[in-house]
Amino acid sequence: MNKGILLCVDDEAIMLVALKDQLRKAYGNRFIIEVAESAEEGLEILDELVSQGNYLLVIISDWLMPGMKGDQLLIEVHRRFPQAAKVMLSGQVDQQAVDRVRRQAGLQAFIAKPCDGDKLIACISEALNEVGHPIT
Amino acid sequence: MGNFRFANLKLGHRLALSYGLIVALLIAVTFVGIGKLRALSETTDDVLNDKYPKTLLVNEVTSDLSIIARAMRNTLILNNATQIQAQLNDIDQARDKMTVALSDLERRVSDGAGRKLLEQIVVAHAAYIGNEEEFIHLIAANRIAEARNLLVVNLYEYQNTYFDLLEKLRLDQDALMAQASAEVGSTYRTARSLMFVLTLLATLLSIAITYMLTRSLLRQLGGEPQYAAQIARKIATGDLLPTIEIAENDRSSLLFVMRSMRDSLIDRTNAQAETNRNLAASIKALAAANAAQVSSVETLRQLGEIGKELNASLDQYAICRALHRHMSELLPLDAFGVALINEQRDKLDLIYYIEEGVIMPPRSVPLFDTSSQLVRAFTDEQVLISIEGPQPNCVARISGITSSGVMHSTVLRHLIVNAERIGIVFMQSHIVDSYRERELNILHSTATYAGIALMNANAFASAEAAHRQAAAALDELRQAQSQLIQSEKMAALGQLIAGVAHEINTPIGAVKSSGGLIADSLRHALEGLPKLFRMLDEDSANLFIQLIGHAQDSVEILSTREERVIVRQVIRQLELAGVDDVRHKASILVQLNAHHDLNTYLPLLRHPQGDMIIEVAHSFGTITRNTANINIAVARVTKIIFALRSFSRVDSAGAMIESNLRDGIETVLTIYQSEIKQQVELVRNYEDIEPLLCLPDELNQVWTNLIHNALQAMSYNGTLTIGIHRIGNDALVSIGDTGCGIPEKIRERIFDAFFTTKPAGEGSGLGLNIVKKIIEKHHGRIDVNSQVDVGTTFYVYLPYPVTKLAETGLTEGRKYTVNQ
Repeated sequence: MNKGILLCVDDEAIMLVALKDQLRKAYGNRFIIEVAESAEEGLEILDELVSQGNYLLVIISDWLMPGMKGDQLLIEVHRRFPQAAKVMLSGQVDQQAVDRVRRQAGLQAFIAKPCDGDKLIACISEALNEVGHPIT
Repeated sequence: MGNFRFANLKLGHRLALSYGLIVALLIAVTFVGIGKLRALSETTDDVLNDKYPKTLLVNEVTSDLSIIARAMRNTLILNNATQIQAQLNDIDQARDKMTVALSDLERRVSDGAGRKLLEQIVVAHAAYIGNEEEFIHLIAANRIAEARNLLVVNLYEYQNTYFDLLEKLRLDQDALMAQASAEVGSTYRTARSLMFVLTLLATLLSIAITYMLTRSLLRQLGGEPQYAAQIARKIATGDLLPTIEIAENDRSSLLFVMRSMRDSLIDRTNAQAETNRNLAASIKALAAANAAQVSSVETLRQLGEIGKELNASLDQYAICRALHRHMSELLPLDAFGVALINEQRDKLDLIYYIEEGVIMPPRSVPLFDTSSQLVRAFTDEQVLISIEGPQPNCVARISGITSSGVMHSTVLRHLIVNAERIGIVFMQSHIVDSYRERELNILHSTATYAGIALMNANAFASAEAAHRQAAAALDELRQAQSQLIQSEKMAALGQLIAGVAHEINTPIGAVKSSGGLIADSLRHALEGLPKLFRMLDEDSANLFIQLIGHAQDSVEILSTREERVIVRQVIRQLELAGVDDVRHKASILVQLNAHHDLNTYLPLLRHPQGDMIIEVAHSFGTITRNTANINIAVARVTKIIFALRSFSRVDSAGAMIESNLRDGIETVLTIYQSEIKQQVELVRNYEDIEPLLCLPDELNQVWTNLIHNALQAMSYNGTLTIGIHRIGNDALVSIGDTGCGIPEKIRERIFDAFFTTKPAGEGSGLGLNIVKKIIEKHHGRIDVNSQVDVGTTFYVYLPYPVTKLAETGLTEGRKYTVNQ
């Protein structure tokens, strides 16, 4: 059975642990919830899951990461999956990068770290709603 | 000629012009006079040569006519022939004269009326003369009766007519003369008026000219010439005191100039007098000095001693005391004092005053206070002032000094060094006539020594003050330097703050999220557990407890990639086992760390309530995992806090402690983690070396500076290589970057204080200087190897103490390869 994918990308493992459990708590097994420690890994996961017939619903990415930065990742994801919602979650704000993602990747939301769990989920639920997967 | 002005002309020109005008006027007067005189002369000539002779001629004719008439009558009367002949001769004579006069008249009379009368006279004359000749003829013929008859009848008639005509002619001539006279009078009056007017004009003109000239002369002179001459004479004879009176606004006259000249002469004379006085004073001083020199060998010897002693001391008070002691041995004194002019030369500082053996506190007198005798004597030109007779104390007017009152001998003497008046020394005595020539000479000579000694002392004091100031300045500089070093430390700290904020934000966020999850999961687990245990048989329950037990001992933190590989395997296994919703369940099992004994838990998965069992187990897994997550996050925060604490520690003068260099470097790397992890490859070539006796906090500052510089040099993109090695007796830490390198020409200067290549405000230029100082404190050294556009490596050598070397038994010369 094909499922929608929620993908979190952050170079901080502790962030990913918390994020993954928060998403699982909120949405149970309705979606495939995946986490990646880098943009490159995130793209690999997408390749794999999409090749299995799954589809990307929301990508949540940090901005400041080693290697490919969050804004580049989101722009690349947008190129491949224009219908997916893109959310940026970051502690460091580079306004230019944010603006670029808004322009070039249709950024759905920008969430500043540290972020309240409920607020994060509300944001993602809204993003899901935007892309036609309303959470009832 | 628009600007021609009389007043601008030279005096000679002015005089020439003025008197030329007057002379011209006078010449005009003369000419008028001459003209008029000529007219008068002509009129007078006319009267004299014409009118008057004509009158005379008329009178002549009249007289001759009378003579003839009388003689003819006489001939009639006389009987004597002789007498008659005489009468006849008279008649002839008179007739001739008459004829001559008449013809003369004829020639002369020119005016119309006169001419007409003369013609009638000629006619009357002819008629008369005819009758007269007839008469004479009758007489001669002695026809007396006929003659008488002729005379009475004819001649008388003609005679009367003749007389009348002559009278008329005379009257005519009189009228002509009167007319001429009137003409003369008129000419005289005209000439008089004209000459009067011209003379008046000339007079007025000369008055005006004289007035103007006088005025301009007076203006130029500034006063009467006699006055000016008198002043000049006085000045010439050397009398410079006369008051020179000039007009109030006079700024250009001779007198004004003379007054200015006189004033400047007075000034010069005064200056000359001053010079003379100075000269006299100098001569006097010289004479006195000479006199003092020759006065007495003993005094001289004593003076020499005094001089030596005074100059041996560099303390002004000691000098004054010695001076006082010597003076009191040599001469009588009850009061003795020394005052020096201060540096601003506006006050006299009475540095020493003793009266009746009582030393008074030092006092100051402003130079403007001329009520003080000290000030007056100091400002006086006289080098030595000696006053005999009762006189108040020299310091009487200075507050804070009690003086005993009247003194009978007083002497004050300038203290002079290098021709500069530096103060005054003074003595007073109750004894009358205490200070005679010998005493004065002693004071005079001693004062010279004292002046030099006091000056030297003053210079010494100044030098000492300067030294003290320099020391204070140095102290301040040291403080400033330590402040700068501290601020450099703070700057280094500031550089870290941004990264640190990020580093702390992430774990804090994780803690927050995990905390929330734990609370939720705990609630979920506590709700689910009793329900679950009611449903499960004993075996299943035990199996469940075993399952969640795995979560407790899960210590291994997997990367997402590793985890995904395992999850994939679990999914395959579960699929083979016929379990549904494999991805979800596999993920939970891996998180619960139960994938090793997967088959053991298959009964739980196949249990009718398998989903619920998995969810409750997941809750437990979530709790344990997030608890671990919190621990990791907190550990990270702790690490950062620790690193920060070691930076913010102010006390760096602590004792050395044994410390592992690796720990310090890792601490610094923790702080720079966010900067390093992005695009910097970190290569650690760490050798296990023994702990080093060091100041770890200060060394942290070294590593921070070097690592920060390395990261900046390669713009946070490149390879950072950190090595820790043991080279002989030294611990070697190398920090290398692949950055821009340091140009050779500035390589020498990078450790200098305040040398920086960063823009103003970014770096203090103290970083590497402090690094060097800290390393030197450890008796170590720092080297740099740099290649432009290739990179820079700093080598820090820190020696182990020698005793430590002996203990560990390490041998010299052991080779280590430095891996960069």
